[in-house]
Amino acid sequence: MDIIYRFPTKINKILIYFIFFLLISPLYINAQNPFTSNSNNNNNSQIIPPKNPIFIKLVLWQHELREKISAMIHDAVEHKKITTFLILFSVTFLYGAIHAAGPGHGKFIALSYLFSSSSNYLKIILFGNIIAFFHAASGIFIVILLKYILHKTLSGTLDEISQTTELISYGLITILGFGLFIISLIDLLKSKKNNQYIENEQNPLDLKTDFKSTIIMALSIGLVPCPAVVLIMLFCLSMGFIFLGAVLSFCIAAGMALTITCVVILGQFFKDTIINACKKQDRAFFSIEKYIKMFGSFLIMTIGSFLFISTI
Amino acid sequence: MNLFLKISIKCIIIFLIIISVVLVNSDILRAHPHVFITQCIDIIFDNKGMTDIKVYWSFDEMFSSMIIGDYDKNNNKKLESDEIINIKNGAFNNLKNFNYFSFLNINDIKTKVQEVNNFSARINKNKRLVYEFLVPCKVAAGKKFHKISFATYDSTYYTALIFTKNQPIELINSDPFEVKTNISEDKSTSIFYNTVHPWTLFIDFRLK
Repeated sequence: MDIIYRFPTKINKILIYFIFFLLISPLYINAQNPFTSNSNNNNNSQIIPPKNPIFIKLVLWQHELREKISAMIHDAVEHKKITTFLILFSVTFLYGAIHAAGPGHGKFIALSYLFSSSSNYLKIILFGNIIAFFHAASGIFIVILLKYILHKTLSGTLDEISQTTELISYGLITILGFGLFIISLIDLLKSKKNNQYIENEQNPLDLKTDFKSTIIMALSIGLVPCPAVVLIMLFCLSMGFIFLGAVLSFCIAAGMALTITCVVILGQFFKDTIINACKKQDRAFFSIEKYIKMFGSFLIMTIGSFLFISTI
Repeated sequence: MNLFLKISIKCIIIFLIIISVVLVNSDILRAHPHVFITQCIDIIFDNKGMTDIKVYWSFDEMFSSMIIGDYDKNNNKKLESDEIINIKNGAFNNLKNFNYFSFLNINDIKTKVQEVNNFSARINKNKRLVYEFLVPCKVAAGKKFHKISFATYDSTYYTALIFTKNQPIELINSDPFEVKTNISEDKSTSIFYNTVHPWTLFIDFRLK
Protein backbone atom coordinates (compact mmCIF):
# COMPACT_ATOMS: atom_id res chain seq x y z
CA MET A 1 0.00 0.00 0.00
CA ASP A 2 2.93 2.30 0.56
CA ILE A 3 3.30 2.92 -3.11
CA ILE A 4 -0.09 4.66 -3.14
CA TYR A 5 1.22 7.52 -1.04
CA ARG A 6 4.72 7.80 -2.36
CA PHE A 7 5.38 11.12 -3.99
CA PRO A 8 6.76 10.63 -7.54
CA THR A 9 10.56 10.57 -7.34
CA LYS A 10 11.16 13.07 -10.13
CA ILE A 11 8.81 15.57 -8.55
CA ASN A 12 10.56 15.03 -5.27
CA LYS A 13 13.90 15.79 -6.91
CA ILE A 14 12.56 18.95 -8.54
CA LEU A 15 11.22 20.11 -5.19
CA ILE A 16 14.62 19.58 -3.57
CA TYR A 17 16.28 21.59 -6.36
CA PHE A 18 13.67 24.28 -5.93
CA ILE A 19 14.20 24.56 -2.17
CA PHE A 20 17.95 24.63 -2.71
CA PHE A 21 17.55 27.39 -5.30
CA LEU A 22 15.46 29.43 -2.90
CA LEU A 23 18.09 29.12 -0.23
CA ILE A 24 20.92 30.33 -2.44
CA SER A 25 18.91 32.98 -4.29
CA PRO A 26 20.02 36.58 -3.93
CA LEU A 27 17.60 39.00 -2.31
CA TYR A 28 17.24 41.59 -5.02
CA ILE A 29 13.69 42.61 -4.38
CA ASN A 30 13.08 46.32 -4.11
CA ALA A 31 9.96 48.34 -4.75
CA GLN A 32 10.72 51.65 -3.12
CA ASN A 33 10.60 54.81 -5.13
CA PRO A 34 14.19 55.15 -6.39
CA PHE A 35 13.92 58.96 -6.46
CA THR A 36 13.16 59.42 -2.79
CA SER A 37 13.93 56.31 -0.79
CA ASN A 38 17.33 55.30 0.48
CA SER A 39 17.15 52.18 -1.57
CA ASN A 40 19.82 50.69 -3.70
CA ASN A 41 19.39 48.28 -6.52
CA ASN A 42 21.11 47.27 -9.69
CA ASN A 43 20.12 43.93 -11.08
CA ASN A 44 20.58 44.18 -14.80
CA SER A 45 21.77 41.03 -16.37
CA GLN A 46 23.85 40.35 -19.41
CA ILE A 47 21.98 37.21 -20.39
CA ILE A 48 20.37 37.60 -23.77
CA PRO A 49 16.69 36.99 -23.18
CA PRO A 50 13.73 36.40 -25.41
CA LYS A 51 11.69 39.49 -26.11
CA ASN A 52 8.68 40.09 -23.98
CA PRO A 53 6.32 42.12 -26.17
CA ILE A 54 3.33 41.66 -23.86
CA PHE A 55 5.16 43.15 -20.93
CA ILE A 56 6.34 46.12 -23.00
CA LYS A 57 2.82 46.62 -24.40
CA LEU A 58 1.40 46.66 -20.88
CA VAL A 59 3.87 49.38 -19.90
CA LEU A 60 3.11 51.49 -22.98
CA TRP A 61 -0.65 51.12 -22.54
CA GLN A 62 -0.35 52.19 -18.93
CA HIS A 63 1.66 55.21 -19.98
CA GLU A 64 -0.93 56.20 -22.59
CA LEU A 65 -3.84 55.65 -20.21
CA ARG A 66 -2.16 57.66 -17.46
CA GLU A 67 -1.67 60.54 -19.90
CA LYS A 68 -5.31 60.28 -20.97
CA ILE A 69 -6.56 60.16 -17.39
CA SER A 70 -4.67 63.28 -16.34
CA ALA A 71 -5.89 65.16 -19.45
CA MET A 72 -9.46 63.97 -18.87
CA ILE A 73 -9.41 64.99 -15.21
CA HIS A 74 -8.57 68.55 -16.31
CA ASP A 75 -11.31 68.37 -18.92
CA ALA A 76 -13.92 66.92 -16.58
CA VAL A 77 -13.21 69.42 -13.84
CA GLU A 78 -13.32 72.32 -16.29
CA HIS A 79 -16.46 71.40 -18.27
CA LYS A 80 -18.29 69.34 -15.63
CA LYS A 81 -20.08 67.19 -18.22
CA ILE A 82 -21.53 63.86 -17.11
CA THR A 83 -20.33 62.09 -20.27
CA THR A 84 -16.76 63.27 -19.67
CA PHE A 85 -16.90 61.93 -16.14
CA LEU A 86 -18.31 58.61 -17.30
CA ILE A 87 -15.59 58.22 -19.92
CA LEU A 88 -13.01 59.20 -17.29
CA PHE A 89 -14.31 56.54 -14.91
CA SER A 90 -14.26 53.92 -17.68
CA VAL A 91 -10.71 54.77 -18.73
CA THR A 92 -9.58 54.70 -15.09
CA PHE A 93 -11.25 51.30 -14.66
CA LEU A 94 -9.39 50.05 -17.74
CA TYR A 95 -6.14 51.47 -16.35
CA GLY A 96 -6.73 49.57 -13.08
CA ALA A 97 -7.35 46.34 -14.98
CA ILE A 98 -4.19 46.72 -17.11
CA HIS A 99 -2.14 47.93 -14.15
CA ALA A 100 -3.02 44.79 -12.19
CA ALA A 101 -2.31 42.60 -15.23
CA GLY A 102 1.34 43.60 -14.94
CA PRO A 103 3.68 42.50 -12.20
CA GLY A 104 2.59 42.67 -8.57
CA HIS A 105 -0.69 43.25 -6.77
CA GLY A 106 -0.42 39.97 -4.90
CA LYS A 107 -1.63 37.79 -7.77
CA PHE A 108 1.05 35.19 -7.21
CA ILE A 109 0.55 35.03 -3.46
CA ALA A 110 -3.21 34.88 -4.08
CA LEU A 111 -2.70 31.94 -6.45
CA SER A 112 -0.44 30.21 -3.96
CA TYR A 113 -3.11 30.71 -1.33
CA LEU A 114 -5.66 29.12 -3.64
CA PHE A 115 -3.44 26.08 -4.02
CA SER A 116 -3.00 25.91 -0.26
CA SER A 117 -6.67 25.94 0.71
CA SER A 118 -10.02 24.41 -0.13
CA SER A 119 -11.84 27.05 -2.13
CA ASN A 120 -15.10 27.59 -3.89
CA TYR A 121 -15.69 30.18 -6.60
CA LEU A 122 -17.67 32.53 -4.35
CA LYS A 123 -14.84 32.57 -1.85
CA ILE A 124 -12.19 33.32 -4.44
CA ILE A 125 -14.23 36.11 -6.05
CA LEU A 126 -14.54 37.65 -2.60
CA PHE A 127 -10.81 37.05 -2.06
CA GLY A 128 -9.80 38.87 -5.28
CA ASN A 129 -12.10 41.80 -4.56
CA ILE A 130 -10.95 42.26 -0.98
CA ILE A 131 -7.30 42.36 -2.12
CA ALA A 132 -8.01 45.02 -4.77
CA PHE A 133 -10.28 47.25 -2.74
CA PHE A 134 -8.18 47.09 0.41
CA HIS A 135 -5.07 47.83 -1.70
CA ALA A 136 -6.81 51.00 -2.96
CA ALA A 137 -8.38 51.94 0.38
CA SER A 138 -4.95 51.73 1.98
CA GLY A 139 -3.64 54.24 -0.62
CA ILE A 140 -6.53 56.66 -0.01
CA PHE A 141 -6.12 56.41 3.75
CA ILE A 142 -2.39 57.11 3.62
CA VAL A 143 -2.80 60.17 1.39
CA ILE A 144 -5.47 61.64 3.68
CA LEU A 145 -3.42 60.81 6.77
CA LEU A 146 -0.26 62.44 5.45
CA LYS A 147 -1.84 65.43 3.78
CA TYR A 148 -4.60 66.41 6.21
CA ILE A 149 -3.66 64.96 9.57
CA LEU A 150 0.13 64.83 9.70
CA HIS A 151 0.70 67.66 7.17
CA LYS A 152 3.83 65.97 5.88
CA THR A 153 5.56 65.98 2.51
CA LEU A 154 4.38 62.97 0.59
CA SER A 155 7.25 61.84 -1.59
CA GLY A 156 9.60 60.92 1.27
CA THR A 157 7.12 60.01 4.00
CA LEU A 158 5.15 57.79 1.68
CA ASP A 159 8.17 55.52 1.27
CA GLU A 160 8.62 55.24 5.03
CA ILE A 161 4.95 54.39 5.56
CA SER A 162 4.92 52.00 2.60
CA GLN A 163 7.92 50.21 4.08
CA THR A 164 6.15 49.82 7.43
CA THR A 165 2.95 48.50 5.82
CA GLU A 166 5.04 46.16 3.65
CA LEU A 167 6.76 44.77 6.75
CA ILE A 168 3.40 44.16 8.46
CA SER A 169 1.91 42.69 5.29
CA TYR A 170 4.77 40.33 4.49
CA GLY A 171 5.13 39.36 8.14
CA LEU A 172 1.45 38.37 8.27
CA ILE A 173 1.72 36.51 4.96
CA THR A 174 4.71 34.55 6.27
CA ILE A 175 2.95 33.66 9.53
CA LEU A 176 -0.22 32.63 7.68
CA GLY A 177 1.83 30.64 5.18
CA PHE A 178 3.63 28.89 8.01
CA GLY A 179 0.33 28.08 9.70
CA LEU A 180 -1.17 26.73 6.47
CA PHE A 181 1.96 24.69 5.82
CA ILE A 182 1.79 23.05 9.26
CA ILE A 183 -1.95 22.36 8.87
CA SER A 184 -1.50 20.85 5.40
CA LEU A 185 1.45 18.76 6.60
CA ILE A 186 -0.53 17.40 9.57
CA ASP A 187 -3.47 16.73 7.26
CA LEU A 188 -1.27 14.81 4.85
CA LEU A 189 0.41 12.78 7.58
CA LYS A 190 -2.96 11.96 9.16
CA SER A 191 -4.40 10.73 5.89
CA LYS A 192 -1.28 8.67 5.31
CA LYS A 193 -1.49 7.16 8.79
CA ASN A 194 -5.19 6.38 8.50
CA ASN A 195 -4.92 5.03 4.96
CA GLN A 196 -7.58 7.57 4.04
CA TYR A 197 -8.47 7.88 0.38
CA ILE A 198 -11.80 9.66 0.66
CA GLU A 199 -11.83 13.16 1.97
CA ASN A 200 -14.15 13.90 4.82
CA GLU A 201 -16.74 16.67 4.49
CA GLN A 202 -15.48 19.81 6.11
CA ASN A 203 -17.37 20.57 9.27
CA PRO A 204 -19.00 24.05 9.65
CA LEU A 205 -16.39 25.13 12.23
CA ASP A 206 -13.56 24.38 9.79
CA LEU A 207 -15.34 26.33 7.05
CA LYS A 208 -15.73 29.31 9.39
CA THR A 209 -12.02 29.20 10.31
CA ASP A 210 -11.11 28.83 6.63
CA PHE A 211 -13.25 31.84 5.75
CA LYS A 212 -11.57 33.91 8.45
CA SER A 213 -8.09 32.94 7.26
CA THR A 214 -9.13 33.87 3.70
CA ILE A 215 -10.19 37.34 4.83
CA ILE A 216 -6.99 37.80 6.87
CA MET A 217 -4.85 36.66 3.93
CA ALA A 218 -6.65 39.01 1.51
CA LEU A 219 -6.29 41.93 3.91
CA SER A 220 -2.60 41.13 4.44
CA ILE A 221 -1.94 41.12 0.69
CA GLY A 222 -3.95 44.30 0.12
CA LEU A 223 -2.48 46.17 3.07
CA VAL A 224 0.37 47.73 1.07
CA PRO A 225 -0.92 50.98 -0.46
CA CYS A 226 -1.23 51.03 -4.22
CA PRO A 227 1.14 53.71 -5.60
CA ALA A 228 -1.15 54.21 -8.61
CA VAL A 229 -4.00 55.13 -6.26
CA VAL A 230 -1.71 57.37 -4.22
CA LEU A 231 -0.63 59.27 -7.35
CA ILE A 232 -4.16 59.71 -8.69
CA MET A 233 -5.39 60.85 -5.26
CA LEU A 234 -2.58 63.37 -5.00
CA PHE A 235 -3.21 64.62 -8.51
CA CYS A 236 -6.88 65.26 -7.72
CA LEU A 237 -5.96 66.77 -4.36
CA SER A 238 -3.58 69.20 -6.07
CA MET A 239 -6.64 70.52 -7.91
CA GLY A 240 -8.79 70.46 -4.76
CA PHE A 241 -11.01 67.54 -5.78
CA ILE A 242 -10.58 64.94 -3.07
CA PHE A 243 -13.95 63.26 -3.74
CA LEU A 244 -13.10 62.82 -7.43
CA GLY A 245 -9.78 61.29 -6.33
CA ALA A 246 -11.62 58.80 -4.11
CA VAL A 247 -14.07 57.87 -6.90
CA LEU A 248 -11.21 57.38 -9.39
CA SER A 249 -9.37 55.27 -6.81
CA PHE A 250 -12.51 53.15 -6.53
CA CYS A 251 -12.52 52.79 -10.35
CA ILE A 252 -8.85 51.67 -10.29
CA ALA A 253 -9.70 49.21 -7.52
CA ALA A 254 -12.65 47.83 -9.52
CA GLY A 255 -10.36 47.34 -12.54
CA MET A 256 -7.71 45.65 -10.40
CA ALA A 257 -10.39 43.47 -8.78
CA LEU A 258 -11.53 42.29 -12.20
CA THR A 259 -8.02 41.22 -13.20
CA ILE A 260 -7.07 39.67 -9.86
CA THR A 261 -10.40 37.82 -9.71
CA CYS A 262 -9.98 36.52 -13.28
CA VAL A 263 -6.50 35.25 -12.41
CA VAL A 264 -7.63 33.46 -9.24
CA ILE A 265 -10.71 31.99 -10.98
CA LEU A 266 -8.47 30.63 -13.73
CA GLY A 267 -6.13 29.25 -11.08
CA GLN A 268 -9.04 27.59 -9.27
CA PHE A 269 -10.41 26.13 -12.51
CA PHE A 270 -6.97 24.80 -13.32
CA LYS A 271 -6.61 23.26 -9.87
CA ASP A 272 -10.09 21.72 -9.86
CA THR A 273 -9.64 20.21 -13.32
CA ILE A 274 -6.37 18.56 -12.41
CA ILE A 275 -7.51 17.26 -9.03
CA ASN A 276 -10.72 15.82 -10.47
CA ALA A 277 -8.89 14.24 -13.38
CA CYS A 278 -6.32 12.72 -11.04
CA LYS A 279 -8.95 11.35 -8.68
CA LYS A 280 -10.84 9.72 -11.53
CA GLN A 281 -7.75 8.17 -13.03
CA ASP A 282 -5.79 6.65 -10.26
CA ARG A 283 -6.09 6.14 -6.52
CA ALA A 284 -2.38 6.83 -6.27
CA PHE A 285 -3.10 10.46 -7.01
CA PHE A 286 -6.03 10.73 -4.63
CA SER A 287 -3.92 12.70 -2.18
CA ILE A 288 -2.59 15.11 -4.83
CA GLU A 289 -4.81 17.87 -3.45
CA LYS A 290 -3.01 17.57 -0.13
CA TYR A 291 0.37 17.84 -1.84
CA ILE A 292 -0.81 20.87 -3.81
CA LYS A 293 -2.04 22.46 -0.58
CA MET A 294 1.30 21.82 1.06
CA PHE A 295 3.20 23.19 -1.92
CA GLY A 296 0.98 26.30 -2.05
CA SER A 297 1.41 27.04 1.64
CA PHE A 298 5.16 26.46 1.34
CA LEU A 299 5.26 29.05 -1.47
CA ILE A 300 3.31 31.58 0.60
CA MET A 301 5.65 31.11 3.53
CA THR A 302 8.77 31.38 1.35
CA ILE A 303 7.65 34.38 -0.68
CA GLY A 304 6.39 36.14 2.43
CA SER A 305 9.68 35.66 4.23
CA PHE A 306 11.73 36.70 1.17
CA LEU A 307 9.74 39.88 0.80
CA PHE A 308 9.88 40.54 4.54
CA ILE A 309 13.67 40.17 4.67
CA SER A 310 14.16 42.33 1.58
CA THR A 311 12.03 45.11 3.06
CA ILE A 312 13.93 45.34 6.38
CA MET B 1 -3.21 6.40 -15.57
CA ASN B 2 -3.11 7.64 -19.14
CA LEU B 3 -0.14 9.36 -20.68
CA PHE B 4 -1.96 12.67 -21.14
CA LEU B 5 -2.59 12.98 -17.43
CA LYS B 6 1.00 12.10 -16.54
CA ILE B 7 2.33 14.74 -18.92
CA SER B 8 -0.20 17.30 -17.65
CA ILE B 9 0.84 16.80 -14.04
CA LYS B 10 4.52 17.10 -14.89
CA CYS B 11 3.87 20.24 -16.94
CA ILE B 12 1.90 21.83 -14.10
CA ILE B 13 4.57 21.10 -11.55
CA ILE B 14 7.33 22.40 -13.81
CA PHE B 15 5.21 25.47 -14.60
CA LEU B 16 4.65 26.16 -10.90
CA ILE B 17 8.31 25.76 -10.11
CA ILE B 18 9.49 27.98 -12.98
CA ILE B 19 6.96 30.67 -12.06
CA SER B 20 7.99 30.44 -8.42
CA VAL B 21 11.69 30.69 -9.18
CA VAL B 22 11.24 33.64 -11.53
CA LEU B 23 8.92 35.48 -9.21
CA VAL B 24 10.71 34.88 -5.95
CA ASN B 25 13.89 36.24 -7.45
CA SER B 26 12.48 39.38 -8.92
CA ASP B 27 10.62 42.60 -8.52
CA ILE B 28 7.82 40.96 -10.43
CA LEU B 29 6.07 40.34 -7.14
CA ARG B 30 5.61 44.05 -6.83
CA ALA B 31 3.64 46.31 -9.08
CA HIS B 32 5.46 48.39 -11.71
CA PRO B 33 5.90 50.88 -13.27
CA HIS B 34 4.55 53.85 -11.38
CA VAL B 35 6.58 56.68 -12.81
CA PHE B 36 6.79 57.44 -16.52
CA ILE B 37 9.58 59.56 -17.98
CA THR B 38 9.69 60.85 -21.53
CA GLN B 39 13.27 61.70 -22.33
CA CYS B 40 15.35 63.46 -24.95
CA ILE B 41 19.10 63.75 -25.17
CA ASP B 42 21.67 66.27 -26.38
CA ILE B 43 25.05 64.94 -27.45
CA ILE B 44 27.58 67.68 -26.74
CA PHE B 45 30.94 68.05 -28.49
CA ASP B 46 33.84 70.48 -28.19
CA ASN B 47 36.65 70.89 -30.72
CA LYS B 48 38.39 67.67 -29.56
CA GLY B 49 35.47 65.27 -29.41
CA MET B 50 32.52 64.31 -27.32
CA THR B 51 32.29 65.83 -23.83
CA ASP B 52 28.88 65.21 -22.30
CA ILE B 53 25.47 63.74 -22.75
CA LYS B 54 22.74 66.10 -21.62
CA VAL B 55 19.62 64.33 -20.43
CA TYR B 56 16.14 65.85 -20.24
CA TRP B 57 13.53 63.90 -18.30
CA SER B 58 9.93 64.99 -18.50
CA PHE B 59 7.81 63.23 -15.86
CA ASP B 60 4.20 62.18 -16.19
CA GLU B 61 1.73 64.70 -14.80
CA MET B 62 0.77 62.66 -11.74
CA PHE B 63 4.29 62.10 -10.47
CA SER B 64 5.05 65.74 -11.37
CA SER B 65 2.16 66.94 -9.22
CA MET B 66 3.44 64.93 -6.25
CA ILE B 67 6.96 66.37 -6.45
CA ILE B 68 5.75 69.88 -7.26
CA GLY B 69 3.26 69.69 -4.37
CA ASP B 70 6.07 68.78 -2.01
CA TYR B 71 8.80 71.13 -3.22
CA ASP B 72 7.16 74.22 -4.78
CA LYS B 73 6.70 75.74 -1.35
CA ASN B 74 5.40 79.12 -2.55
CA ASN B 75 2.99 77.44 -5.01
CA ASN B 76 3.95 79.79 -7.84
CA LYS B 77 4.34 76.89 -10.30
CA LYS B 78 7.97 77.83 -10.79
CA LEU B 79 10.99 76.27 -9.18
CA GLU B 80 13.38 78.73 -7.57
CA SER B 81 17.02 77.90 -6.82
CA ASP B 82 16.39 76.86 -3.19
CA GLU B 83 13.52 74.63 -4.30
CA ILE B 84 15.72 73.05 -6.97
CA ILE B 85 18.36 72.29 -4.31
CA ASN B 86 15.67 70.65 -2.17
CA ILE B 87 14.46 68.59 -5.12
CA LYS B 88 18.03 67.54 -5.86
CA ASN B 89 18.55 66.44 -2.26
CA GLY B 90 15.13 64.88 -1.79
CA ALA B 91 14.16 63.45 -5.15
CA PHE B 92 17.27 63.07 -7.27
CA ASN B 93 20.48 62.36 -5.35
CA ASN B 94 19.31 58.88 -4.36
CA LEU B 95 19.46 57.95 -8.03
CA LYS B 96 23.21 57.66 -7.54
CA ASN B 97 22.41 54.21 -6.13
CA PHE B 98 20.81 53.43 -9.46
CA ASN B 99 23.60 54.96 -11.62
CA TYR B 100 21.17 57.79 -12.40
CA PHE B 101 19.41 55.23 -14.62
CA SER B 102 22.30 55.83 -17.06
CA PHE B 103 24.51 53.09 -18.48
CA LEU B 104 27.43 54.02 -20.69
CA ASN B 105 29.44 51.75 -22.89
CA ILE B 106 32.47 53.30 -24.62
CA ASN B 107 34.11 51.17 -27.31
CA ASP B 108 32.71 48.03 -25.69
CA ILE B 109 33.97 49.02 -22.25
CA LYS B 110 31.35 49.58 -19.60
CA THR B 111 31.73 52.89 -17.81
CA LYS B 112 29.87 53.31 -14.57
CA VAL B 113 28.02 56.61 -14.25
CA GLN B 114 28.88 57.69 -10.73
CA GLU B 115 28.44 61.43 -10.96
CA VAL B 116 26.31 63.76 -13.00
CA ASN B 117 26.71 67.53 -13.28
CA ASN B 118 24.63 70.69 -13.65
CA PHE B 119 21.41 69.27 -12.28
CA SER B 120 18.43 71.52 -12.75
CA ALA B 121 14.67 71.15 -12.48
CA ARG B 122 11.80 73.17 -13.88
CA ILE B 123 8.08 73.01 -14.54
CA ASN B 124 7.26 73.19 -18.23
CA LYS B 125 4.21 74.75 -19.88
CA ASN B 126 2.37 71.40 -19.71
CA LYS B 127 2.80 71.37 -15.90
CA ARG B 128 5.34 68.57 -16.16
CA LEU B 129 8.36 68.41 -13.93
CA VAL B 130 11.53 68.37 -16.04
CA TYR B 131 14.95 67.28 -14.80
CA GLU B 132 18.08 68.23 -16.74
CA PHE B 133 21.59 67.00 -16.05
CA LEU B 134 24.89 66.27 -17.74
CA VAL B 135 26.43 62.84 -17.88
CA PRO B 136 30.20 63.30 -18.44
CA CYS B 137 31.46 61.33 -21.42
CA LYS B 138 34.84 62.60 -22.60
CA VAL B 139 35.98 60.82 -25.72
CA ALA B 140 38.51 62.44 -28.06
CA ALA B 141 37.74 61.93 -31.75
CA GLY B 142 40.18 60.14 -34.06
CA LYS B 143 40.22 58.80 -37.57
CA LYS B 144 38.46 55.62 -36.53
CA PHE B 145 34.88 55.53 -35.36
CA HIS B 146 34.33 55.52 -31.61
CA LYS B 147 31.33 53.45 -30.64
CA ILE B 148 29.32 54.66 -27.67
CA SER B 149 26.08 53.32 -26.35
CA PHE B 150 23.97 55.09 -23.76
CA ALA B 151 21.09 53.22 -22.21
CA THR B 152 18.72 54.74 -19.68
CA TYR B 153 16.62 52.49 -17.57
CA ASP B 154 15.52 51.75 -14.04
CA SER B 155 16.47 48.16 -13.43
CA THR B 156 13.72 47.83 -10.81
CA TYR B 157 11.20 49.10 -13.38
CA TYR B 158 9.55 51.36 -10.83
CA THR B 159 10.20 53.96 -13.50
CA ALA B 160 9.63 53.48 -17.22
CA LEU B 161 11.83 55.64 -19.46
CA ILE B 162 10.63 56.25 -22.98
CA PHE B 163 12.31 58.31 -25.70
CA THR B 164 10.20 61.19 -26.96
CA LYS B 165 8.79 60.67 -30.47
CA ASN B 166 9.77 64.10 -31.77
CA GLN B 167 13.48 64.85 -31.98
CA PRO B 168 14.75 62.56 -29.24
CA ILE B 169 18.37 63.38 -30.11
CA GLU B 170 20.12 66.66 -30.81
CA LEU B 171 23.78 67.14 -31.71
CA ILE B 172 25.57 70.19 -30.28
CA ASN B 173 28.81 71.53 -31.87
CA SER B 174 29.15 68.40 -33.98
CA ASP B 175 30.26 70.10 -37.23
CA PRO B 176 33.90 68.91 -37.16
CA PHE B 177 32.77 65.30 -36.76
CA GLU B 178 31.02 62.61 -38.70
CA VAL B 179 28.31 61.40 -36.30
CA LYS B 180 25.84 58.54 -36.68
CA THR B 181 23.10 58.04 -34.10
CA ASN B 182 20.52 55.34 -33.71
CA ILE B 183 17.99 54.46 -31.04
CA SER B 184 17.16 50.80 -30.79
CA GLU B 185 16.85 47.96 -28.30
CA ASP B 186 20.17 46.80 -26.93
CA LYS B 187 19.97 43.06 -27.51
CA SER B 188 23.11 42.44 -25.47
CA THR B 189 21.53 43.75 -22.28
CA SER B 190 18.43 42.72 -20.48
CA ILE B 191 16.71 44.24 -17.52
CA PHE B 192 13.92 43.47 -15.10
CA TYR B 193 15.06 39.90 -14.81
CA ASN B 194 15.51 39.17 -18.47
CA THR B 195 12.16 40.36 -19.67
CA VAL B 196 13.08 43.60 -21.45
CA HIS B 197 15.89 44.90 -23.68
CA PRO B 198 16.46 48.56 -22.80
CA TRP B 199 16.09 51.19 -25.50
CA THR B 200 19.56 52.51 -26.11
CA LEU B 201 21.15 55.40 -27.94
CA PHE B 202 24.03 54.23 -30.15
CA ILE B 203 26.53 56.91 -31.17
CA ASP B 204 29.35 56.40 -33.69
CA PHE B 205 31.63 59.38 -34.38
CA ARG B 206 35.01 60.27 -35.85
CA LEU B 207 36.84 63.27 -37.33
CA LYS B 208 35.57 64.35 -40.74
